[in-house]
Amino acid sequence: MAARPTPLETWHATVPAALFAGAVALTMLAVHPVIAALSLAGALAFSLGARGVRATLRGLRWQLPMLALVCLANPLFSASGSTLLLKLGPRSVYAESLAYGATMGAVMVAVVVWLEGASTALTQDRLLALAGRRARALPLVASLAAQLVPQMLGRARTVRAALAACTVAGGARPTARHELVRTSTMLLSWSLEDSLERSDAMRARGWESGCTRTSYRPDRLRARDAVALAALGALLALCAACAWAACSGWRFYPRMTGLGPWWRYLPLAVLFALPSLAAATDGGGAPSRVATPGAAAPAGCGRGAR
Amino acid sequence: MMERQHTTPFRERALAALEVPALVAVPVALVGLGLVGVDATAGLTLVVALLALLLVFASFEASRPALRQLMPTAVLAAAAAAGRVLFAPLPDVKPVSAIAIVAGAALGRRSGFVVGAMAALISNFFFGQGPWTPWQMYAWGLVGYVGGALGEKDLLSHAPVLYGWAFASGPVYGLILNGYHVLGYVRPLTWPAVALACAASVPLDVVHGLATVAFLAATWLPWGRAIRRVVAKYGL
Repeated sequence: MAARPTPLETWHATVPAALFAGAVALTMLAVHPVIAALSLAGALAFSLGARGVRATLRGLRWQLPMLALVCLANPLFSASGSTLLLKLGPRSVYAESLAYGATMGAVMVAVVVWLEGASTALTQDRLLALAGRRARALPLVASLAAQLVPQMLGRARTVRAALAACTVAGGARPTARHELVRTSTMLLSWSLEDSLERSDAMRARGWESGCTRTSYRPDRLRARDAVALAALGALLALCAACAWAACSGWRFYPRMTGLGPWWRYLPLAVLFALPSLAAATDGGGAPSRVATPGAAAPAGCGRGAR
Repeated sequence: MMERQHTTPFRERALAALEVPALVAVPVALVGLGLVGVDATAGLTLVVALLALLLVFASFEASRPALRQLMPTAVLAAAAAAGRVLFAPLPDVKPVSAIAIVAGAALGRRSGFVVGAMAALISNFFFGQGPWTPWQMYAWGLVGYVGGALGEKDLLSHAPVLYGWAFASGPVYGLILNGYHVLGYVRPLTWPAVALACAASVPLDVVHGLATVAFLAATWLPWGRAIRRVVAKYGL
Protein backbone atom coordinates (compact mmCIF):
# COMPACT_ATOMS: atom_id res chain seq x y z
CA MET A 1 0.00 0.00 0.00
CA ALA A 2 1.40 3.39 -0.97
CA ALA A 3 2.03 5.77 1.92
CA ARG A 4 -0.58 8.49 2.30
CA PRO A 5 0.64 11.99 1.58
CA THR A 6 0.94 14.25 4.62
CA PRO A 7 -2.07 16.59 4.57
CA LEU A 8 -1.44 20.35 4.74
CA GLU A 9 2.20 19.75 3.91
CA THR A 10 2.36 22.82 1.70
CA TRP A 11 1.93 25.07 4.72
CA HIS A 12 4.42 25.88 7.47
CA ALA A 13 3.76 23.66 10.51
CA THR A 14 2.48 26.65 12.51
CA VAL A 15 -0.56 26.96 10.19
CA PRO A 16 -2.01 23.45 10.78
CA ALA A 17 -0.92 23.67 14.44
CA ALA A 18 -2.89 26.92 14.93
CA LEU A 19 -5.84 25.52 12.98
CA PHE A 20 -6.10 22.31 15.01
CA ALA A 21 -5.36 24.03 18.33
CA GLY A 22 -8.09 26.60 17.59
CA ALA A 23 -10.60 23.91 16.62
CA VAL A 24 -9.85 21.84 19.74
CA ALA A 25 -9.92 24.86 22.07
CA LEU A 26 -13.27 26.10 20.70
CA THR A 27 -14.72 22.60 20.93
CA MET A 28 -13.63 22.19 24.54
CA LEU A 29 -14.58 25.67 25.73
CA ALA A 30 -17.97 26.00 24.00
CA VAL A 31 -20.43 23.58 25.60
CA HIS A 32 -23.18 23.88 23.00
CA PRO A 33 -24.91 21.07 21.10
CA VAL A 34 -24.71 22.75 17.67
CA ILE A 35 -21.03 23.65 18.05
CA ALA A 36 -20.20 20.14 19.31
CA ALA A 37 -22.05 18.58 16.36
CA LEU A 38 -20.34 20.90 13.85
CA SER A 39 -16.93 20.13 15.36
CA LEU A 40 -17.54 16.37 15.33
CA ALA A 41 -18.69 16.54 11.69
CA GLY A 42 -15.63 18.60 10.71
CA ALA A 43 -13.26 16.28 12.57
CA LEU A 44 -14.78 13.17 10.97
CA ALA A 45 -14.68 14.74 7.49
CA PHE A 46 -10.97 15.57 7.90
CA SER A 47 -10.25 12.13 9.33
CA LEU A 48 -12.02 10.42 6.40
CA GLY A 49 -9.92 12.41 3.94
CA ALA A 50 -6.59 12.31 5.75
CA ARG A 51 -6.63 8.89 7.43
CA GLY A 52 -9.03 6.99 5.19
CA VAL A 53 -12.39 5.33 5.74
CA ARG A 54 -11.00 2.20 7.36
CA ALA A 55 -8.86 3.94 10.01
CA THR A 56 -11.69 6.34 10.86
CA LEU A 57 -14.22 3.52 11.27
CA ARG A 58 -11.74 1.53 13.35
CA GLY A 59 -11.43 4.53 15.68
CA LEU A 60 -15.20 4.98 15.87
CA ARG A 61 -15.50 1.40 17.11
CA TRP A 62 -14.28 2.56 20.54
CA GLN A 63 -15.17 6.23 20.26
CA LEU A 64 -18.93 5.68 19.77
CA PRO A 65 -19.24 3.50 22.91
CA MET A 66 -17.29 6.21 24.77
CA LEU A 67 -19.78 8.82 23.51
CA ALA A 68 -22.67 6.63 24.67
CA LEU A 69 -21.02 6.13 28.07
CA VAL A 70 -20.50 9.86 28.67
CA CYS A 71 -24.05 10.50 27.41
CA LEU A 72 -25.63 7.95 29.77
CA ALA A 73 -23.40 8.86 32.74
CA ASN A 74 -24.94 12.33 33.01
CA PRO A 75 -28.60 11.33 33.67
CA LEU A 76 -27.40 8.57 36.01
CA PHE A 77 -25.24 10.90 38.09
CA SER A 78 -27.44 13.91 37.96
CA ALA A 79 -31.19 13.90 37.26
CA SER A 80 -32.48 17.27 36.19
CA GLY A 81 -34.69 18.75 33.48
CA SER A 82 -38.34 19.09 32.62
CA THR A 83 -39.01 16.47 29.92
CA LEU A 84 -39.30 13.10 31.65
CA LEU A 85 -38.31 10.28 29.31
CA LEU A 86 -38.37 7.23 31.58
CA LYS A 87 -37.85 6.08 35.13
CA LEU A 88 -35.07 3.62 35.95
CA GLY A 89 -35.87 2.44 39.45
CA PRO A 90 -35.45 5.44 41.74
CA ARG A 91 -33.79 7.57 39.04
CA SER A 92 -35.62 9.67 36.47
CA VAL A 93 -34.08 10.18 33.04
CA TYR A 94 -34.81 13.58 31.55
CA ALA A 95 -34.26 14.55 27.91
CA GLU A 96 -32.27 17.66 28.93
CA SER A 97 -29.90 15.64 31.09
CA LEU A 98 -29.41 13.16 28.26
CA ALA A 99 -28.82 16.00 25.77
CA TYR A 100 -26.16 17.51 28.03
CA GLY A 101 -24.43 14.13 28.26
CA ALA A 102 -24.64 13.67 24.48
CA THR A 103 -23.12 17.13 23.97
CA MET A 104 -20.21 16.37 26.33
CA GLY A 105 -19.74 12.96 24.68
CA ALA A 106 -19.64 14.63 21.26
CA VAL A 107 -17.12 17.18 22.59
CA MET A 108 -14.88 14.39 23.89
CA VAL A 109 -15.05 12.30 20.70
CA ALA A 110 -14.59 15.39 18.50
CA VAL A 111 -11.41 16.32 20.40
CA VAL A 112 -10.10 12.74 20.06
CA VAL A 113 -10.82 12.68 16.31
CA TRP A 114 -9.25 16.15 15.85
CA LEU A 115 -6.10 14.94 17.66
CA GLU A 116 -5.97 11.81 15.49
CA GLY A 117 -6.31 13.97 12.38
CA ALA A 118 -3.76 16.47 13.66
CA SER A 119 -1.22 13.70 14.19
CA THR A 120 -1.33 12.89 10.45
CA ALA A 121 -0.70 16.51 9.48
CA LEU A 122 1.78 17.31 12.26
CA THR A 123 4.22 14.45 12.12
CA GLN A 124 6.76 14.05 14.88
CA ASP A 125 9.54 15.89 13.06
CA ARG A 126 7.25 18.82 12.22
CA LEU A 127 6.19 19.04 15.88
CA LEU A 128 9.82 19.01 17.03
CA ALA A 129 10.64 21.77 14.53
CA LEU A 130 7.81 23.79 16.12
CA ALA A 131 9.36 23.47 19.56
CA GLY A 132 11.85 26.16 18.63
CA ARG A 133 15.45 26.49 19.64
CA ARG A 134 15.05 27.83 23.15
CA ALA A 135 13.53 24.57 24.41
CA ARG A 136 16.21 21.93 24.03
CA ALA A 137 15.91 19.49 26.89
CA LEU A 138 12.23 18.53 26.64
CA PRO A 139 11.95 17.95 22.87
CA LEU A 140 15.05 15.78 23.20
CA VAL A 141 13.60 13.77 26.11
CA ALA A 142 10.26 13.40 24.27
CA SER A 143 11.75 12.25 20.98
CA LEU A 144 14.26 9.93 22.65
CA ALA A 145 11.63 8.35 24.90
CA ALA A 146 9.18 7.93 22.00
CA GLN A 147 11.82 6.05 20.03
CA LEU A 148 13.02 4.05 23.02
CA VAL A 149 9.57 2.54 23.72
CA PRO A 150 9.43 0.25 20.65
CA GLN A 151 13.14 -0.54 21.13
CA MET A 152 12.50 -1.54 24.76
CA LEU A 153 9.48 -3.66 23.87
CA GLY A 154 11.63 -5.47 21.30
CA ARG A 155 14.54 -5.87 23.72
CA ALA A 156 12.21 -7.23 26.40
CA ARG A 157 11.41 -10.08 23.99
CA THR A 158 15.14 -10.59 23.30
CA VAL A 159 16.02 -10.72 27.02
CA ARG A 160 13.16 -13.13 27.79
CA ALA A 161 14.11 -15.38 24.87
CA ALA A 162 17.77 -15.43 25.97
CA LEU A 163 16.82 -16.26 29.56
CA ALA A 164 14.42 -18.97 28.43
CA ALA A 165 17.14 -20.48 26.25
CA CYS A 166 19.60 -20.73 29.19
CA THR A 167 18.49 -24.10 30.48
CA VAL A 168 21.98 -25.29 31.52
CA ALA A 169 21.55 -24.34 35.15
CA GLY A 170 18.37 -26.37 35.31
CA GLY A 171 16.35 -26.13 38.49
CA ALA A 172 12.87 -24.83 39.00
CA ARG A 173 11.41 -22.26 36.64
CA PRO A 174 11.63 -18.74 38.09
CA THR A 175 8.40 -17.25 39.35
CA ALA A 176 6.64 -14.61 37.28
CA ARG A 177 7.68 -11.92 39.77
CA HIS A 178 11.31 -12.99 39.74
CA GLU A 179 11.35 -13.11 35.95
CA LEU A 180 9.73 -9.67 35.71
CA VAL A 181 12.24 -8.07 38.07
CA ARG A 182 15.15 -9.75 36.31
CA THR A 183 14.02 -8.79 32.82
CA SER A 184 13.16 -5.21 33.76
CA THR A 185 16.44 -4.65 35.63
CA MET A 186 18.45 -6.00 32.70
CA LEU A 187 16.50 -3.82 30.30
CA LEU A 188 17.07 -0.77 32.50
CA SER A 189 20.84 -1.33 32.76
CA TRP A 190 21.10 -2.05 29.04
CA SER A 191 19.13 1.08 28.10
CA LEU A 192 20.93 3.33 30.59
CA GLU A 193 24.38 2.29 29.40
CA ASP A 194 23.27 2.60 25.79
CA SER A 195 21.86 6.05 26.41
CA LEU A 196 25.08 7.32 27.99
CA GLU A 197 27.08 6.10 25.04
CA ARG A 198 24.54 7.83 22.81
CA SER A 199 24.99 11.05 24.76
CA ASP A 200 28.77 10.83 24.28
CA ALA A 201 28.22 10.28 20.55
CA MET A 202 25.96 13.34 20.47
CA ARG A 203 28.54 15.46 22.29
CA ALA A 204 31.19 14.29 19.85
CA ARG A 205 29.00 15.71 17.08
CA GLY A 206 28.80 19.11 18.71
CA TRP A 207 25.73 18.89 20.94
CA GLU A 208 26.08 21.17 23.99
CA SER A 209 29.12 22.84 22.40
CA GLY A 210 27.44 26.15 23.13
CA CYS A 211 26.88 27.33 19.58
CA THR A 212 24.27 26.64 16.94
CA ARG A 213 25.13 23.35 15.29
CA THR A 214 23.25 24.04 12.10
CA SER A 215 21.44 26.87 10.44
CA TYR A 216 19.48 24.51 8.21
CA ARG A 217 15.78 24.96 8.69
CA PRO A 218 13.57 22.20 7.31
CA ASP A 219 10.44 24.35 7.67
CA ARG A 220 10.43 27.89 6.33
CA LEU A 221 7.84 30.55 7.20
CA ARG A 222 6.94 32.27 3.92
CA ALA A 223 4.70 35.22 3.10
CA ARG A 224 1.74 33.01 2.26
CA ASP A 225 2.07 31.24 5.63
CA ALA A 226 2.10 34.57 7.45
CA VAL A 227 -1.00 35.70 5.52
CA ALA A 228 -2.73 32.38 6.28
CA LEU A 229 -1.86 32.72 9.97
CA ALA A 230 -3.23 36.27 10.10
CA ALA A 231 -6.45 35.22 8.34
CA LEU A 232 -6.76 32.22 10.65
CA GLY A 233 -6.29 34.46 13.69
CA ALA A 234 -9.09 36.73 12.49
CA LEU A 235 -11.37 33.74 11.82
CA LEU A 236 -10.62 32.29 15.27
CA ALA A 237 -11.42 35.64 16.92
CA LEU A 238 -14.73 35.83 15.02
CA CYS A 239 -15.52 32.21 15.95
CA ALA A 240 -14.72 32.88 19.62
CA ALA A 241 -17.10 35.87 19.62
CA CYS A 242 -19.85 33.83 17.95
CA ALA A 243 -19.31 30.88 20.30
CA TRP A 244 -19.43 33.22 23.31
CA ALA A 245 -22.73 34.72 22.08
CA ALA A 246 -24.19 31.28 21.30
CA CYS A 247 -23.19 29.83 24.69
CA SER A 248 -24.39 32.77 26.76
CA GLY A 249 -27.85 32.57 25.14
CA TRP A 250 -28.17 28.79 25.37
CA ARG A 251 -29.72 26.98 28.37
CA PHE A 252 -29.87 23.20 28.90
CA TYR A 253 -31.91 23.37 32.12
CA PRO A 254 -34.74 23.38 32.91
CA ARG A 255 -35.68 23.40 29.22
CA MET A 256 -33.37 23.65 26.21
CA THR A 257 -33.80 27.19 24.80
CA GLY A 258 -31.90 30.01 23.17
CA LEU A 259 -30.51 28.56 19.95
CA GLY A 260 -30.21 32.04 18.43
CA PRO A 261 -29.91 32.96 14.74
CA TRP A 262 -28.39 30.38 12.37
CA TRP A 263 -25.73 32.74 10.99
CA ARG A 264 -24.09 32.79 14.40
CA TYR A 265 -22.82 29.28 13.71
CA LEU A 266 -21.60 30.04 10.19
CA PRO A 267 -18.01 31.10 11.11
CA LEU A 268 -17.68 27.98 13.29
CA ALA A 269 -18.91 25.76 10.45
CA VAL A 270 -16.30 27.39 8.18
CA LEU A 271 -13.54 26.86 10.76
CA PHE A 272 -14.38 23.19 11.31
CA ALA A 273 -14.66 22.56 7.55
CA LEU A 274 -11.41 24.42 6.84
CA PRO A 275 -8.95 21.54 7.51
CA SER A 276 -10.80 19.25 5.06
CA LEU A 277 -11.09 22.01 2.44
CA ALA A 278 -7.43 22.97 2.81
CA ALA A 279 -6.32 19.33 2.58
CA ALA A 280 -8.53 18.74 -0.48
CA THR A 281 -7.13 21.76 -2.31
CA ASP A 282 -3.56 21.03 -1.21
CA GLY A 283 -0.87 20.78 -3.82
CA GLY A 284 -1.36 24.30 -5.13
CA GLY A 285 1.88 25.52 -3.60
CA ALA A 286 5.35 24.18 -3.12
CA PRO A 287 5.91 22.20 0.08
CA SER A 288 7.23 24.34 2.89
CA ARG A 289 9.83 21.68 3.62
CA VAL A 290 12.50 22.50 1.07
CA ALA A 291 16.23 22.28 1.33
CA THR A 292 17.11 25.89 2.07
CA PRO A 293 20.49 26.42 3.56
CA GLY A 294 20.04 29.38 5.85
CA ALA A 295 22.40 32.16 6.70
CA ALA A 296 26.02 31.54 7.48
CA ALA A 297 26.90 29.88 10.75
CA PRO A 298 27.15 32.25 13.72
CA ALA A 299 30.54 33.80 14.22
CA GLY A 300 32.89 32.04 16.57
CA CYS A 301 31.63 28.54 15.90
CA GLY A 302 34.17 27.62 13.28
CA ARG A 303 33.75 25.40 10.27
CA GLY A 304 32.71 22.37 12.25
CA ALA A 305 29.46 24.05 13.11
CA ARG A 306 28.16 23.83 9.56
CA MET B 1 28.61 24.93 28.62
CA MET B 2 28.47 28.55 27.44
CA GLU B 3 24.68 28.49 27.74
CA ARG B 4 24.93 27.84 31.46
CA GLN B 5 26.53 31.18 32.11
CA HIS B 6 23.80 33.01 30.19
CA THR B 7 20.94 31.55 32.23
CA THR B 8 19.49 34.14 34.52
CA PRO B 9 19.41 32.57 37.96
CA PHE B 10 16.47 34.86 38.74
CA ARG B 11 14.33 33.22 36.03
CA GLU B 12 15.30 29.79 37.27
CA ARG B 13 14.51 30.73 40.87
CA ALA B 14 11.20 32.38 39.96
CA LEU B 15 10.08 29.35 37.95
CA ALA B 16 11.13 27.00 40.74
CA ALA B 17 9.16 29.06 43.27
CA LEU B 18 6.07 28.97 41.04
CA GLU B 19 6.09 25.17 40.62
CA VAL B 20 4.16 24.30 43.77
CA PRO B 21 1.51 27.08 43.41
CA ALA B 22 0.96 26.00 39.78
CA LEU B 23 0.55 22.34 40.77
CA VAL B 24 -1.86 23.30 43.57
CA ALA B 25 -3.83 25.66 41.31
CA VAL B 26 -5.05 22.76 39.14
CA PRO B 27 -7.20 20.93 41.73
CA VAL B 28 -8.29 24.28 43.21
CA ALA B 29 -9.49 25.49 39.79
CA LEU B 30 -11.15 22.14 39.12
CA VAL B 31 -13.11 22.07 42.36
CA GLY B 32 -13.87 25.81 42.31
CA LEU B 33 -15.15 26.00 38.74
CA GLY B 34 -16.95 22.66 39.02
CA LEU B 35 -18.83 23.60 42.18
CA VAL B 36 -19.75 27.06 40.90
CA GLY B 37 -21.18 25.23 37.87
CA VAL B 38 -19.39 26.99 35.01
CA ASP B 39 -20.41 25.22 31.79
CA ALA B 40 -16.94 25.38 30.26
CA THR B 41 -15.27 23.81 33.33
CA ALA B 42 -13.86 20.95 31.24
CA GLY B 43 -12.16 23.39 28.85
CA LEU B 44 -11.08 26.01 31.39
CA THR B 45 -9.55 23.52 33.83
CA LEU B 46 -7.78 21.87 30.90
CA VAL B 47 -6.18 25.25 30.18
CA VAL B 48 -5.09 25.53 33.85
CA ALA B 49 -3.66 21.98 33.76
CA LEU B 50 -1.78 22.75 30.52
CA LEU B 51 -0.38 25.96 32.04
CA ALA B 52 0.81 24.05 35.13
CA LEU B 53 2.47 21.45 32.87
CA LEU B 54 4.11 24.20 30.81
CA LEU B 55 5.40 25.96 33.93
CA VAL B 56 7.05 22.86 35.40
CA PHE B 57 8.46 21.99 31.96
CA ALA B 58 9.82 25.55 31.65
CA SER B 59 11.39 25.19 35.09
CA PHE B 60 13.00 21.91 33.97
CA GLU B 61 14.32 23.69 30.84
CA ALA B 62 15.58 26.63 32.91
CA SER B 63 17.58 24.32 35.15
CA ARG B 64 19.58 23.50 31.99
CA PRO B 65 20.16 19.80 32.66
CA ALA B 66 23.29 18.44 31.02
CA LEU B 67 22.93 15.89 28.25
CA ARG B 68 24.13 13.04 30.44
CA GLN B 69 21.54 13.95 33.06
CA LEU B 70 18.79 14.00 30.43
CA MET B 71 19.46 10.48 29.23
CA PRO B 72 18.31 8.64 32.39
CA THR B 73 15.16 10.80 32.36
CA ALA B 74 14.37 9.73 28.79
CA VAL B 75 15.16 6.07 29.54
CA LEU B 76 12.94 5.98 32.65
CA ALA B 77 10.11 7.76 30.80
CA ALA B 78 10.37 5.18 28.02
CA ALA B 79 10.47 2.33 30.59
CA ALA B 80 7.32 3.67 32.26
CA ALA B 81 5.52 4.03 28.92
CA ALA B 82 6.63 0.55 27.80
CA GLY B 83 5.54 -0.87 31.17
CA ARG B 84 2.11 0.68 30.78
CA VAL B 85 1.82 -0.85 27.30
CA LEU B 86 2.99 -4.28 28.53
CA PHE B 87 0.55 -4.29 31.46
CA ALA B 88 -2.35 -2.93 29.42
CA PRO B 89 -4.35 -6.22 29.64
CA LEU B 90 -4.57 -5.86 33.45
CA PRO B 91 -6.77 -2.85 34.28
CA ASP B 92 -5.25 -0.43 36.80
CA VAL B 93 -2.08 -2.49 37.17
CA LYS B 94 0.49 -0.10 35.74
CA PRO B 95 4.08 0.57 36.77
CA VAL B 96 4.04 4.26 35.72
CA SER B 97 3.58 5.70 39.25
CA ALA B 98 6.28 3.41 40.67
CA ILE B 99 8.79 4.37 37.97
CA ALA B 100 7.92 8.08 38.37
CA ILE B 101 8.66 7.79 42.11
CA VAL B 102 11.95 5.96 41.43
CA ALA B 103 12.87 8.67 38.91
CA GLY B 104 11.97 11.46 41.35
CA ALA B 105 14.07 9.81 44.07
CA ALA B 106 17.08 9.16 41.82
CA LEU B 107 17.04 12.27 39.60
CA GLY B 108 15.15 14.98 41.50
CA ARG B 109 11.59 16.25 41.59
CA ARG B 110 11.55 17.97 38.20
CA SER B 111 12.88 14.85 36.47
CA GLY B 112 10.26 12.82 38.36
CA PHE B 113 7.58 15.13 36.99
CA VAL B 114 8.97 14.92 33.45
CA VAL B 115 9.18 11.10 33.61
CA GLY B 116 5.55 10.78 34.77
CA ALA B 117 4.24 13.32 32.28
CA MET B 118 6.23 12.00 29.31
CA ALA B 119 5.24 8.41 30.10
CA ALA B 120 1.56 9.42 29.94
CA LEU B 121 2.04 11.38 26.71
CA ILE B 122 4.04 8.68 24.93
CA SER B 123 2.02 5.67 26.07
CA ASN B 124 -1.12 7.47 24.88
CA PHE B 125 0.24 7.18 21.33
CA PHE B 126 -0.59 3.49 21.84
CA PHE B 127 -3.87 3.94 23.73
CA GLY B 128 -5.24 7.08 22.06
CA GLN B 129 -4.77 10.77 22.80
CA GLY B 130 -7.70 12.79 24.08
CA PRO B 131 -8.69 15.54 26.48
CA TRP B 132 -7.59 13.15 29.25
CA THR B 133 -3.92 13.23 28.11
CA PRO B 134 -2.96 16.50 29.91
CA TRP B 135 -4.73 15.24 33.05
CA GLN B 136 -2.85 11.96 33.03
CA MET B 137 0.36 13.90 32.37
CA TYR B 138 -0.41 16.16 35.31
CA ALA B 139 -1.44 13.32 37.65
CA TRP B 140 1.57 11.09 36.96
CA GLY B 141 3.85 14.12 36.87
CA LEU B 142 2.57 15.06 40.32
CA VAL B 143 3.26 11.52 41.60
CA GLY B 144 6.87 11.81 40.39
CA TYR B 145 7.22 15.38 41.68
CA VAL B 146 6.05 14.49 45.20
CA GLY B 147 8.27 11.38 45.08
CA GLY B 148 11.21 13.61 44.18
CA ALA B 149 10.37 16.17 46.86
CA LEU B 150 10.21 13.39 49.47
CA GLY B 151 13.48 11.96 48.16
CA GLU B 152 15.21 15.35 48.38
CA LYS B 153 14.22 15.53 52.05
CA ASP B 154 15.64 12.00 52.46
CA LEU B 155 12.26 10.68 53.56
CA LEU B 156 12.05 7.83 51.04
CA SER B 157 14.61 5.81 53.01
CA HIS B 158 11.80 5.27 55.55
CA ALA B 159 9.71 2.40 54.25
CA PRO B 160 6.38 3.73 55.62
CA VAL B 161 6.82 7.04 53.75
CA LEU B 162 7.92 5.30 50.53
CA TYR B 163 5.12 2.75 50.48
CA GLY B 164 2.64 5.21 51.96
CA TRP B 165 3.09 7.60 49.04
CA ALA B 166 3.18 4.67 46.58
CA PHE B 167 -0.20 3.52 47.85
CA ALA B 168 -1.65 7.03 48.09
CA SER B 169 -0.61 7.75 44.50
CA GLY B 170 -3.40 5.39 43.29
CA PRO B 171 -6.26 7.31 44.94
CA VAL B 172 -4.60 10.66 44.10
CA TYR B 173 -4.41 9.69 40.43
CA GLY B 174 -7.99 8.37 40.53
CA LEU B 175 -9.30 11.51 42.25
CA ILE B 176 -7.72 13.79 39.65
CA LEU B 177 -8.98 11.77 36.67
CA ASN B 178 -12.46 11.19 38.13
CA GLY B 179 -12.67 14.75 39.41
CA TYR B 180 -11.94 16.04 35.93
CA HIS B 181 -14.72 13.91 34.47
CA VAL B 182 -17.38 14.50 37.12
CA LEU B 183 -16.68 18.20 37.72
CA GLY B 184 -16.10 18.93 34.04
CA TYR B 185 -18.67 16.78 32.28
CA VAL B 186 -21.66 16.22 34.58
CA ARG B 187 -24.31 18.98 34.94
CA PRO B 188 -26.08 19.94 37.13
CA LEU B 189 -23.59 18.75 39.71
CA THR B 190 -24.89 17.41 43.01
CA TRP B 191 -22.99 16.08 46.01
CA PRO B 192 -24.55 12.60 45.70
CA ALA B 193 -23.27 12.50 42.10
CA VAL B 194 -19.72 13.35 43.22
CA ALA B 195 -19.88 10.81 46.05
CA LEU B 196 -21.28 8.13 43.71
CA ALA B 197 -18.51 8.67 41.16
CA CYS B 198 -15.78 8.59 43.83
CA ALA B 199 -17.25 5.49 45.47
CA ALA B 200 -17.48 3.70 42.12
CA SER B 201 -13.76 4.18 41.49
CA VAL B 202 -12.49 3.31 45.00
CA PRO B 203 -11.82 -0.40 44.20
CA LEU B 204 -9.95 0.54 41.00
CA ASP B 205 -7.87 3.19 42.81
CA VAL B 206 -7.02 0.74 45.58
CA VAL B 207 -5.87 -1.81 42.97
CA HIS B 208 -3.77 0.92 41.34
CA GLY B 209 -2.25 1.88 44.71
CA LEU B 210 -1.51 -1.74 45.65
CA ALA B 211 0.00 -2.42 42.21
CA THR B 212 2.25 0.62 42.65
CA VAL B 213 3.37 -0.65 46.07
CA ALA B 214 4.05 -4.10 44.56
CA PHE B 215 6.03 -2.67 41.62
CA LEU B 216 8.02 -0.41 43.93
CA ALA B 217 8.71 -3.23 46.42
CA ALA B 218 9.97 -5.43 43.58
CA THR B 219 12.07 -2.83 41.76
CA TRP B 220 13.24 -0.35 44.43
CA LEU B 221 16.43 -2.26 45.33
CA PRO B 222 17.45 -3.83 41.97
CA TRP B 223 16.65 -0.69 39.97
CA GLY B 224 18.35 1.52 42.53
CA ARG B 225 21.40 -0.73 42.26
CA ALA B 226 21.32 -0.60 38.43
CA ILE B 227 21.07 3.21 38.44
CA ARG B 228 23.83 3.60 41.07
CA ARG B 229 26.06 1.22 39.08
CA VAL B 230 25.70 3.33 35.93
CA VAL B 231 26.26 6.51 37.95
CA ALA B 232 29.50 5.05 39.39
CA LYS B 233 30.68 3.54 36.10
CA TYR B 234 30.26 6.73 34.07
CA GLY B 235 31.07 9.15 36.88
CA LEU B 236 27.80 11.11 36.59
